[in-house]
Amino acid sequence: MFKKILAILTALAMLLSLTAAFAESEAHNPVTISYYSTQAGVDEETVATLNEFMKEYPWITVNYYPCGDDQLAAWLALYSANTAPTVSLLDCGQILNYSDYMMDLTKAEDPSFFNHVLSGTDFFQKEGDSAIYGIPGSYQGFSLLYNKTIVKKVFGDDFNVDTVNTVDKLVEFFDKIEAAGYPSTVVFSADWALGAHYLGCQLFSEWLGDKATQRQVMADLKAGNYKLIENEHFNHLMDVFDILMARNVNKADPLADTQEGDLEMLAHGKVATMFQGDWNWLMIRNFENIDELGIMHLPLTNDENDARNLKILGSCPKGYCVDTYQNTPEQQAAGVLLAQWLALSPAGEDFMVRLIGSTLPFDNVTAVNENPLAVSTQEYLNAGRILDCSTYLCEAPTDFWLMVGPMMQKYLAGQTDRAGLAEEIQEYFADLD
Amino acid sequence: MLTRRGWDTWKLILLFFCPALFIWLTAMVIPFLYGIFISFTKWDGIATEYTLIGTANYVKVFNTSKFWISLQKTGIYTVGTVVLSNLLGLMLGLLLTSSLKGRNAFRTAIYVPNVVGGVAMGYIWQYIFSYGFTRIGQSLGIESLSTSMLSDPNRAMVALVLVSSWQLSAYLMIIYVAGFTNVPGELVEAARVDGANSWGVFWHVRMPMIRPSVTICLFLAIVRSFMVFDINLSLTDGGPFGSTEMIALRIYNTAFVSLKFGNAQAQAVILFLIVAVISVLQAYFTQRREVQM
Repeated sequence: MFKKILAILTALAMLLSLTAAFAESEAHNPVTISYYSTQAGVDEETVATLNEFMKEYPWITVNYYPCGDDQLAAWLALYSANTAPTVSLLDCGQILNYSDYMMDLTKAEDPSFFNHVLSGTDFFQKEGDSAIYGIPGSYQGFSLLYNKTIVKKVFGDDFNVDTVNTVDKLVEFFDKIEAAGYPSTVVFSADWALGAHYLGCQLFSEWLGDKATQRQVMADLKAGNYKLIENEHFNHLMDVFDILMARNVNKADPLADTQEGDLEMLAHGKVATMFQGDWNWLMIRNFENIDELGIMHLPLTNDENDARNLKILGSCPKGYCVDTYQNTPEQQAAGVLLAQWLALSPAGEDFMVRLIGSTLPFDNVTAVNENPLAVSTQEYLNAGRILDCSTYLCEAPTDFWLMVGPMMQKYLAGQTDRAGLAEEIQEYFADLD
Repeated sequence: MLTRRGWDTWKLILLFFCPALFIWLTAMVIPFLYGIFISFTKWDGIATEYTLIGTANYVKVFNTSKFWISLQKTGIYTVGTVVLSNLLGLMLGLLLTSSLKGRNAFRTAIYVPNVVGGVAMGYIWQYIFSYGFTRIGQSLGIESLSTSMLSDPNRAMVALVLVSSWQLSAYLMIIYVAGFTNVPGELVEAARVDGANSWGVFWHVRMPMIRPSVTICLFLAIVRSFMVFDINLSLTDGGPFGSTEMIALRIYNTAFVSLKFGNAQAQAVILFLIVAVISVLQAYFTQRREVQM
């Protein structure tokens, strides 16, 4: 008897939920939107995640546009074909470059989802504009990746990397690692890594001063009346680069390395450190027998009271934006739903954290990150030890890395000196339109 | 008034000519004209409104030293690739039209690099230059091979020429094979009877007879070399420090990294004019030397 009642109650509950879902679906007009993602290599998983969304919002149909190698070119081609994606996961710089075509998400019907975003919205804002054009898609940390297994072997299990808080102590740290028979560092020589991450993000960061100072330096460089070689921070940055260069395991042929080769050395304990970011986990996780890894700060001065020496660089490189140029208001409303769902729903978070290995700057993250580098980033983020480099990422010319990266390569290969490098960077800025 | 026969002719013309004309217009002519128009504008890649700025993009391009440096490097690369790929293609063509055992198998094997995509091939060769040759050099103690060719500006250019020629020669070989196959056997026989040695037969009989093939091969090699993009992107990506950035890669970067679409289009138009003039001159002069039977 009890079983019969239970069966009837279950059937009734199912009927009610179905009716509710049907009623909700009936309350909305069907709408078809599209989603373009620059997160390459995870198309099947993206489609599965979008299917989850469509189950939750049955009146919305989402067409997926995967990116190819030419992420921006493919995205622009969709605009040319009058099929602009409703929601796009794009680099923050691109979102700001094309903000004229994007929705100010603070003006969405219900922008309360921003209450869950702990940091990173400034990466999607323009100078002097309160509008926010993107929801952060992930948070990424970068500085000195290090092999914890080596560090534990050399310094003991209890070693705290926070004791490496000055340049002199960094040198001492490297010396001890080398004395134990391990190469201390590898300098990854790709133009984008040297141009954007080492120089761009660190130069136009809070090391240079507050945001107004950073903007002023950039403006002065564009105006052609700034001597970079006389800037103290630039010199600190290059002093540390000299240290890294001198200890580079590839210094005999510094431009012949590859990202995969350098990461493999780091992951397999053939080198102790490498200046890069937590996104490299996507490549590292394909290796076998990976050592314990983490991220630590890169001190730039000998002032042990300078808190910036204990910070890593952090950014929100990608965000979800909603097109207003070729999508109807109904599509835009559905797009906002999708964007916030991708960012903040358990399924969206699971996708970003478990699959991509990213840190998320949100207050409700429950997904467990298997990326040890992102775990380090999260620790620095929680401790508020993040260097703000949004000025570079949002306001520097889009081709900075392309033009300055080769100049840094030249410096790395010993083909120019610091003064020559500074001069070339100044010429680049002065030549901008 | 058209007769029934006249209508039939027109119907046939429309049936065969219009689809091809439509494709040619939409895929070639209209984009080409649109590109020329873009070169006179400041455009962000999306807007349907264009800001006309006259010849400002052309003036900027002419005043940008990096454009000319890139063009100069493309010229050097083109000379190297055209010469090497044609020599290799000619030699392979000659070899594979001789009475070599298993020549069909060789033809297939040698043609394979041309089937592999430029990007994939660039990455394969990048690995070989960075890890293969350097390991060999280090183990044999050959200093010049111990460091990667791709990390030195001059040697990176040589590497680019070598890989491009290796790929292109396979394609040219097929054209040269066709050319050599069409040389009448009686001409070769007659030359031999007259006492010509192998070199004499090659230089005075075969070569004049395959000049149409030479014309085509030179034309193809020049155009493909000037337009090189995929191998440049995947093998050196313009490096080290921008020393191998060919003009097509520069145009791409100007458009999709610097987001200067008008400027990129102006560079493309200038490149088109240069390639068109060189190709027409080359075709004119080599065709004049062709032997008419």
